[in-house]
Amino acid sequence: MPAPTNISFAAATELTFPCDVTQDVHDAGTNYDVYYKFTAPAGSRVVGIWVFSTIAETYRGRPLIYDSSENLYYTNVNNINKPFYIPVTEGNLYYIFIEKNGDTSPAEIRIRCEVAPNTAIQEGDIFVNDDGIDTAGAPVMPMVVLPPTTNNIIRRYVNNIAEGEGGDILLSGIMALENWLDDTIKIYNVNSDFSLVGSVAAANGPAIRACRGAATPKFYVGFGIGAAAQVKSLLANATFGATIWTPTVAALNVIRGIAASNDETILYYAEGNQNKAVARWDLNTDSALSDLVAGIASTYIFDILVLDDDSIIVIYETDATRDVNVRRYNSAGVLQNTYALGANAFVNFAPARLAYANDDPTSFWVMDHQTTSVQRFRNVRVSDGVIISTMTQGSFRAGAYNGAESATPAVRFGPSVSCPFMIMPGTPTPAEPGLHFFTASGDEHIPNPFVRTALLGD
Amino acid sequence: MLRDHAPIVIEEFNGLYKRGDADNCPLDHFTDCENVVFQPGGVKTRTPIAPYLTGETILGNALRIYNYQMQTQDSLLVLVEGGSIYHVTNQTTVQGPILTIATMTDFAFVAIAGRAYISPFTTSSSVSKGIEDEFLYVYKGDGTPARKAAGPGPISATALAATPGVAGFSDLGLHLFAVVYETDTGYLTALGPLTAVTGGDTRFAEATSVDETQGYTISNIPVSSDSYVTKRHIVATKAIDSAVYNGDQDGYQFFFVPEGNIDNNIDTTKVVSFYDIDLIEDASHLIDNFFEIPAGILLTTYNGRLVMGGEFDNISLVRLSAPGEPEAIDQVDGLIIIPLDGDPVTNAQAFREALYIYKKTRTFGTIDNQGLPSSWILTPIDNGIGCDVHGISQILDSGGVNADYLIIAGWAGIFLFNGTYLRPEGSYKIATYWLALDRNNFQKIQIANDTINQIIYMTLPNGLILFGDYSEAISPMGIKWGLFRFEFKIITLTFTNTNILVLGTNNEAQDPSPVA
Repeated sequence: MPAPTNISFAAATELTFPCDVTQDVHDAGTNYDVYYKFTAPAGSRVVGIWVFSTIAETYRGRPLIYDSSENLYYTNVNNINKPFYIPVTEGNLYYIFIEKNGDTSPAEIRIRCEVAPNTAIQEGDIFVNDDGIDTAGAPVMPMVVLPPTTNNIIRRYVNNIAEGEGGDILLSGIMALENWLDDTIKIYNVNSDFSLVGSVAAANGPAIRACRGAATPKFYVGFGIGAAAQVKSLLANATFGATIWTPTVAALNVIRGIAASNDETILYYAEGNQNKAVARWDLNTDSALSDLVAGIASTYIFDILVLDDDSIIVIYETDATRDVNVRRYNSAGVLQNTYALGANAFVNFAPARLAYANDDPTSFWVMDHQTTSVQRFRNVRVSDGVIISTMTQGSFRAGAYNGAESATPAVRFGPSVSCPFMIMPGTPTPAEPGLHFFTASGDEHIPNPFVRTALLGD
Repeated sequence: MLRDHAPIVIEEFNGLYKRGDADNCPLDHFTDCENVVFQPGGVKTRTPIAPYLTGETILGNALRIYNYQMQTQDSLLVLVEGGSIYHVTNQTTVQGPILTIATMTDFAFVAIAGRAYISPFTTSSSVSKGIEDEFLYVYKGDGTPARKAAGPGPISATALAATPGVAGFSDLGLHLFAVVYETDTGYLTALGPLTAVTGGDTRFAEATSVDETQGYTISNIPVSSDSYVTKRHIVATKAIDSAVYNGDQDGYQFFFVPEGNIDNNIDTTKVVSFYDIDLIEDASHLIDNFFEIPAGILLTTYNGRLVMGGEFDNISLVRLSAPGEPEAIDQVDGLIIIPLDGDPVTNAQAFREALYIYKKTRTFGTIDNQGLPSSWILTPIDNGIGCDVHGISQILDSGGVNADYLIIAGWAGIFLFNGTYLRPEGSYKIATYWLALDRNNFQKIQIANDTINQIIYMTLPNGLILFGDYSEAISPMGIKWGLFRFEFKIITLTFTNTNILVLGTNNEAQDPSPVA
């Protein structure tokens, strides 16, 4: 084979989307770094790229992305031989620089590129933004939108969205997200193509939870460390409420799980370390109340929900085995249900998370990891813990597929491995009237299965 | 375990108990339960539901569904708001609408020989009657629209003619000739032709044979303008004494002429030959048949006869067809009058050898004496218990007879019926709940019986489903009752393909759950 000629920016080989090209980068005992270029297609927000060398070969080409000014745009040590995605601006020029890892032969690369799907968001879709980890060398990674019941398929990506671990959404479609990069909380209007409503400062945390039952729906956010920890209400117009609450938080600790009662009289919260109680704080008097429930040994709390029926959902994850148990309490702290959900495949400290379902209080959602490369979204029925639906996606870290190298990866696009997740709100679409039948695979909601005996009385 | 307290072990869960105060509820029963089913030693959440249709068609709010057993497969007839009936042949195929009557809010149905007979009715002020100026329809199951059952006899502007002289054979003397249409459902119309002139009399042909070696040429045979007429038959009298014949064609007995069939709706002439002794099959009974059968609220079969009743103008009348001829209903003799009390008949069901006829709070019985229905003896069975239009359990296709009883839902409760109503009633354990149901809407109760799993299901006036699991015992104390609630009201239900329970749903607002 003659030596490659695309060995500089100027000589980069043009790619058009979708592409599937191969190249032998070896000649006369030398492997060459090679350059490709592409113009982001019209309408594209995110593109997927996969540079692959046969696994049996020693050669591995490491792809790096440069912008049109030949400045480094994207690098990720985890994207070698694996699919990855990057946000782009349509019409802009980008370079793919494929760096060699030595001069072994054979040294063949196969480059496949495609535009990420871009279909309309639907009620019930799942939002997962990026956690912002591995920010060095990466642009702001996009949020993904997933259909709730279809595996390994994405709806679209949303660019220029805050990256972080905290976030929630109001029923109106107002979304609040921690922005790790500048210690703020960004407010977006999902129904206005994610237009930025505003931004507020909130360092060290924050934990964010929608109070959907409030007379004026809002978020409650907890941020700050130890004695400096604060809780504020955050309105849909990106302004804090006037009151600052100062719940008791241990030194060096932060508020991790947070949720206000629907009547906004009590704040339920849990600190970030293990063995922590679900504490209660009086929002009227800014004073401590007795704990809702005591802490559980060797167990973390990452999220709390207050359902529309005022019951409290708490997600527990054990330290060593990562067993996930969700517990539901009434407002008196009496355990109502325990949902044992199995182990969360511990992925780079990516805990299992909670989200409100659109049929609250009939169900809620849990996100965790089925394996280190498969993310799992489960809709859990409150009354009996039945898993109404399970959806899985391949996990990505800073845009790169988090699974093992493979000639046939399961996915080309997917969610970030660690992050909050939210459900696109809306009234559950009522089933079309007409004809229905009983089937084990049916997904129509079963309203409140229950029995009541004479022992309990009326 | 608390000291000095004896444990109470509950090993079985025997369903809902709503009889008197909650304190009366036995420990192994529930004062309330919804959306659970029973299993040995336990109870669990019921199976979820899903849309039955998987194709593009959305039918809308269902008002009534029936399982329609065609000769080739099971299917469904579905009435939706707006008065249209659709034929659902499988989960992806919907034919129709096969019939649309804007005022139709319910319909009666029975399948005979693979054809569906449909009678539209409506309910006003809790009284169900056939729709005024509407009729019984027949649907062949092939997707073509349903048509009125029966049909008019021949009409022609030109008189039928019968001319002797063609080679053949005949008995000497005067004979009258007429024509009968046959429809694609086998119905034989009244004799004709009637003239097309308003007020015209029947004009049968007259012909006199003078030569025993000659037959007759029948001409000007009317051709029907209705495409469902597929055949015509020549009918004739035996020889009439011409000395007494005065031209009045009424009162003579007609017979089907052997080989007098015309297997099309095209030909206008036919040559026939016959001796009077060959005239055996009577055709006169066709004269008094309805050519349009008034709509009613009940349809069933009994001893090969179609049974219908509850017409708009005759609410206490039950009509029966000739045996083997579901559309041949005699206006004069094919009826039974149920005692008049201001309430309409609501239901009818063949059981063992008898036909039982119901009003809301009364039950009657009658037995075929092989004579005309008008001669059958009607016997009161119960003057306090009856049922409404859909309140008798059905199994697929055969209409209600299961083991040795019927299951009947009436104001007084759910009863087992084996010729008499068995006491205590099957709804004994839920009597308080049952008696609190809205009696003005008992026409909304439709029962279906799953004989494989031994569960009966019924829609309730409140839009819930009541089910009774009798897998352990079909007795008032052994049956396990429960309720199903959905996100919409259930208006109607039926089984298809043996034990697939199909629900007809309606998105009216649902009453709140007791634990909402």
